[in-house]
Amino acid sequence: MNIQFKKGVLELCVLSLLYHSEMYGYELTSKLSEAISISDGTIYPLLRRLKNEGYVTTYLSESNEGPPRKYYRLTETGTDYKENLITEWAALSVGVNKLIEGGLENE
Amino acid sequence: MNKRAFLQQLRKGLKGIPKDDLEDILYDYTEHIDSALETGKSEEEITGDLGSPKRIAKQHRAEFYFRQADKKGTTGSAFKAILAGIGLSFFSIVFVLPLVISLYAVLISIFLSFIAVAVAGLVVVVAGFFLFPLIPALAGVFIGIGVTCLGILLTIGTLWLIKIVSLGMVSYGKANIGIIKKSGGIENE
Repeated sequence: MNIQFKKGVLELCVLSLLYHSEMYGYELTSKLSEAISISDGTIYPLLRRLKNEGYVTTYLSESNEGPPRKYYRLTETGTDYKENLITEWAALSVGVNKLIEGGLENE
Repeated sequence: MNKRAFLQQLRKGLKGIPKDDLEDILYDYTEHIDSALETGKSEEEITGDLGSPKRIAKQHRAEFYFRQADKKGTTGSAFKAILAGIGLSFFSIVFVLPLVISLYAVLISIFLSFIAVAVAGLVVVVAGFFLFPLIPALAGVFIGIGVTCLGILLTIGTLWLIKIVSLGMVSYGKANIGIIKKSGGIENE
């Protein structure tokens, strides 16, 4: 597995969430925090990178209270990229599970 | 830490980033805090969840310099990116920085010795005339030109090598940016 892997896990989570619906920053971090332990603040550097790489786009939308919210939307390139990450993730977790269960011992 | 203090520290940590990017980053965190406040959380709680503004600023800076380095692909930008990257971890400073410095030192000495080869070639060209009675002058000139060309080619090759190494450094540094907090268990290194 390549060195990008660690970054990839969080990236995969973010892209998967955005695949299901467009979200603003706080919404996204809340959903992530429910599932995995992260510092909310680290999501934004990642989002900026994803945007720079063309995997997501942003648009502003008025909210009832406070400033307009910046929504994140997955692009087509982003969707393809997400699919690739899922394939890699699936391959890795199968391999790891095999090792954990000792399935490779017999070879 | 309250909202004001958090944003102030973040702004301080983001020094060096162009104004547009900086304001955009600060906007994201302002929006985040305001959205969280609406759910009834306290400012302290929210900034606690966000994590250290210093660390966040470092990640943004690293991200920014890597993008610059990616665009330029020069040694200078690679160094900046590496410096931004190593700001993030003790491991890199102790183990990686000396390696990076010695690698560049070796590359630079190779580079200089090839320049010396090219210069030596020129000397041979000139010397060929003075040694005229001993060896045919033309032979000296041709040998000299040959050595000079060889030196120049090797020098150019070394420059490419330095560029490739710099790009490699950028991707290494990129992989090094911590994303997940320590208690998450997937911290870098």
